Amino acid sequence: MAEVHIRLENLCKSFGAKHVLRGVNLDIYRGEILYIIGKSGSGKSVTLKNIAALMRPDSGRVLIDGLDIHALAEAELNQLRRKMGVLFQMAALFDSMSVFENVAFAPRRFTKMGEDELRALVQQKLELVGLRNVEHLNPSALSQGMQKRVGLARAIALDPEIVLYDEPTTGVDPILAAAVDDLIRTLNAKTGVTSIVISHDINSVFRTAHRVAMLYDGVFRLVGTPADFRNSDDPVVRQFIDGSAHGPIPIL
Amino acid sequence: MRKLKQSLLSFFERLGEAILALLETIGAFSIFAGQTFRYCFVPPFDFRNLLYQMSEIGVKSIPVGVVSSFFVGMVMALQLGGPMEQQIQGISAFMGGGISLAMVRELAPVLTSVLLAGRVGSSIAAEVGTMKVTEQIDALATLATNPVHYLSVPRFLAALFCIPMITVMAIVVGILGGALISNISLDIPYNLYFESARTLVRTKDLVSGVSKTFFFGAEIALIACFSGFRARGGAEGVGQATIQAVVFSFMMIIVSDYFITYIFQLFGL
Repeated sequence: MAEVHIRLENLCKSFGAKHVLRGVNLDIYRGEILYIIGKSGSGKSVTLKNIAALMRPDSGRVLIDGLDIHALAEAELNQLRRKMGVLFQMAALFDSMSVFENVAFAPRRFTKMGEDELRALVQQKLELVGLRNVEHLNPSALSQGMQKRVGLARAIALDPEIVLYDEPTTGVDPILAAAVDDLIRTLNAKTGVTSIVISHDINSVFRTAHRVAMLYDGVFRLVGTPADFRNSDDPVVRQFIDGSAHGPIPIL
Repeated sequence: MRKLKQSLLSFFERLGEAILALLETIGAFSIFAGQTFRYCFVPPFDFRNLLYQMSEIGVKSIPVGVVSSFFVGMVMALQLGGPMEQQIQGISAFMGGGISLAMVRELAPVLTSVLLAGRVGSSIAAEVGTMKVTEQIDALATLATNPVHYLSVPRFLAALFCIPMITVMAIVVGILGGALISNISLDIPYNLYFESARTLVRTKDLVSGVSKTFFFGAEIALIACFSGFRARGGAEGVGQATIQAVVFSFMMIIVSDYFITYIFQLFGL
């Protein structure tokens, strides 16, 4: 796990007077499952959006395979994006299209596959996330958990090397959350993708992560294995993983 | 005195902020419009999507455009016939020319565009705005697809081509509506009506009237997509974007109508 896949270099981002990221540094290794945790508003999503090139940092760089993604021309960035899948918090399925069209979206645009091949590919990706015979349905006919699965199938349709998950277990019941965690682990084991997961679900973190990075006050407070977090005596880390309202972290 | 000074200061501060915000919006809109133009010529060309939008924006708007225009032609004949005849006997022989000229140069182009700004502009803004607030636009970007390219270009091209076509239909039907009422309530024979229309309306009138609507169509689609892309914060934001799209495109159609007509007249159109 030594090869650096994604490197965050001194990322800074402010919104008006609010400094959300104040110099974030992190190396993410190829094939690992990295969880970024932190309380709401700590800049987890901003970090993820910077990695997905949906938002530009004020300063600092995001290097993927050594390429500064925010310095790339659009065509090059789009080449790189084909190797990256994103699962959005509410799945963000295209509601004007069927499940099939959603999953087939990128392959249809970027490969020369015929309809039969597309059909086989979509079926295979859906089975990988545990779904069958839903191709013809509209996203609105699916439960939230199924929408997330379809969103994941769409994200991995082009066999990406990186998958980003934006709070995959927020707002779902504990059983489904466990299923989503299984999915993240299975996908990682089967395809070797580098997975970055944003979460504040401590159970998920300990169940799934290879490494964990905690954002606090615009920088990473602690980066380490789940065991490092369990054994940490930093009061900020302790308060977060114990889920206590009392401690150094201001609630408002 | 100090209080006055302070309230003056805060007034200018707010005025300045408003002007800055306006300039920022105009700048962002110009960039957006420029991107849309540029992506019209960048592959992949999504013909399936374009045809779908032409059916949504164009074909489905034909009834509203045509029916309204028919009644506008009718009501003009109704309103003009009596008073004109009272002033000068026999003047209603020119009814056909008057109604047709008004239809061709102003009424059909502006009326069709305003109606479509309501029907098409609101639906585009609501659709794109919903996609924005539910992260579907971010999802497009992560699927290596430029959202302006994918969403704005087909809607822009569809509006650009469909609105002039519907305008032509509206012109024809409006003139027919006028003919019908002129005949029924003013006893003007059809051949006299159309004869007068043929003498008064020139090709250049048609060129002027229809070519305006290319601009109106572009304005409607660009303003609607732009408002949608700037939607923020859930259902309320989508509602705001929709209102903004409709109100601004109404205003822009009416305002630009004057300037476009003025420029056309400089060129003798």
